[in-house]
Amino acid sequence: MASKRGTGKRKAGAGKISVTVREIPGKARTASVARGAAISDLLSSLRINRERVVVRKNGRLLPESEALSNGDVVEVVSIISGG
Amino acid sequence: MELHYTGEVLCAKHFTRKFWRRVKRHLSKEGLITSGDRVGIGLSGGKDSTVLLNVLHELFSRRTDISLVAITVDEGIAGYRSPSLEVARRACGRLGIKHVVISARDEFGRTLDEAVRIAGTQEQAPCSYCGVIRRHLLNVAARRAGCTKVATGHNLDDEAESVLMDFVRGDVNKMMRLGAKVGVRSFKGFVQRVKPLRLIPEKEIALFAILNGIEFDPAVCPYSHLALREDVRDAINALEVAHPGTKFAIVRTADRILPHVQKGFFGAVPQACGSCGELSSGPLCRFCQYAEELDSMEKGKKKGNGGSA
Ligand SMILES: [Zn+2]
Repeated sequence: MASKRGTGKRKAGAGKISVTVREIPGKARTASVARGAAISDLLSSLRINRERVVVRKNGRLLPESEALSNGDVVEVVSIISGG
Repeated sequence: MELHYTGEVLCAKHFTRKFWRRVKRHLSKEGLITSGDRVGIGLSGGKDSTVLLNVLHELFSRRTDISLVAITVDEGIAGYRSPSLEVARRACGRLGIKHVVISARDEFGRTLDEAVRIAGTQEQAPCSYCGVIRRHLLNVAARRAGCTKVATGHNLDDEAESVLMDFVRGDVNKMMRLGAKVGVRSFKGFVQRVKPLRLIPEKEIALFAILNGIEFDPAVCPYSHLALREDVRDAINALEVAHPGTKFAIVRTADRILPHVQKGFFGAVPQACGSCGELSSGPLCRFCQYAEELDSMEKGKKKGNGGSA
């Protein structure tokens, strides 16, 4: 695991990690979650209902139990469409 | 992949295998598509109908006793329908399935956008117009194409929403028409509707589409935020997260109760609409009622007094 510390980024609080969330459709934002948090924790902290989205990292679909690492970039893709 | 309602975590291969098993089981258990059927597939170009098209093609294209035709209803919603129509065309071209398009402008005399412009968005939500127009045109196109069944891409979420919406609106008549097979009562000219994906959660249909590289149009209808369905969907999704299995429970409960209630409910004999001849619960079907309503609203507006109802 490459260390991303000390790159000038705002340092996440103690016991916290920082991840980038790209909502599709929507925009990117940074979120801070507890170390060891899973994707499902991230979704609930962002008030995104997991029934409405699928989550990808580097193009791969992820189970929501997967733990996040500091610096992760995840895509949260809305699945609600016109039918 | 996680199936929260069973607590299972599946890899892509097992997820796909399980998806097929459930679709096949539902098709055969309910006898949705049988030998001799010509199936009209309602194809909007969205994920549900595009997955349905691919699923039915995979299951039935090699059969000589079953044939498929795709039907797209063009409601006339600017900026929304044209891209999905292209997706639908491409999908049919790729799979070699005949594709017919039927439009509200031709058959209803107005596009949905025009209807909304006349009627406004408050009293009659665009979705109630659209639902009636779509069902009507799907039936007309299916009959013209010689279909014995119409298959639509309704998923578990849609079905659970419909059950709760009918409760919220107190619409018992509409509720009586829910179920695996819709319109079983035989009526000349009415093509029976089936929903092969109605026990598959929406999210799993999206996952199936992504995992199998099925192209679909992700656009959301510009009118959907006006609908009661949107509120009901949020409520059900909140319940599902807190209580996994909620959606299945809602649909299964309705499925178990309805057959008993339906027997006593359909007193009135279905009749033919006096204007267009389609199946109707009164002398004039909803499609023709709406067309008349819009005509008189438009006349009222043209008189210059804003046409208050
Ligand atoms: Zn009519």
